[in-house]
Amino acid sequence: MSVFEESMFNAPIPGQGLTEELGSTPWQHPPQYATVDEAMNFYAERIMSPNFKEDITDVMELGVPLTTLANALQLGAVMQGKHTIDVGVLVTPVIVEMLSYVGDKAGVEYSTGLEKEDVDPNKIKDSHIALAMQKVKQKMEKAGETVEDSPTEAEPSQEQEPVEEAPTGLMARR
Amino acid sequence: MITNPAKNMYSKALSDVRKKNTKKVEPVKKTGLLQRNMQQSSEETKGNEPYDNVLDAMNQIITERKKLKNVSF
Repeated sequence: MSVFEESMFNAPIPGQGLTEELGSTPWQHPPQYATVDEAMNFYAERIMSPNFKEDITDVMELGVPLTTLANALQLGAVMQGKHTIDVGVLVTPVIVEMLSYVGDKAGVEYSTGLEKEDVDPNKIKDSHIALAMQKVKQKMEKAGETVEDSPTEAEPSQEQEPVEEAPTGLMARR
Repeated sequence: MITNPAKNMYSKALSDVRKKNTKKVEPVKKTGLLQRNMQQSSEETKGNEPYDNVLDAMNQIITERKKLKNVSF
């Protein structure tokens, strides 16, 4: 069975969305923050909290664009019933700016998602290298090997003194 | 193709902030029968729409970022 056919069978049954009781999900209730101003204050408090700052700078360092982060944040808040989806879409640019402010303050290099990427097939992204390193570390830890963060420097090879060859030939002095 | 709505919204808001920051001087007609000032009154330009609040907030954050370091904008 192909993957496509498999995913077809995993799809929801038509009308399944109507089987839930109305009001059982947070987004079916009136939002907690009805206006854009209220939503902006909510995000300002949330983004400027110290715990959130640390987590978000880690994600920024991995190379996730700020627009993607902002979209995920506002969609999560919609699902929690904090605000409506239209307020979320309106607030998104402010969230991106707040995140870039946090990134600037922390001195992290980030991408907003608007940059044009020059695709170089020979260049591997830093985030990919970091992820690969993390996977290798986890595998090594599972295998019971000790992981050394800094590679030990190879011992400098002893320089061999050049051995003088014995002079050969007719005119060689002995 | 799947597009990120936040990306579109952010790029649009950025261009709108730039437009807002560039002051447009309307011509003032002083001669002729139809003398009038083409400039809108301050009450007309004063925006109370939610999107205007968003642009104002963005402007504030951008100025704060400029203070932090010289961000090219």
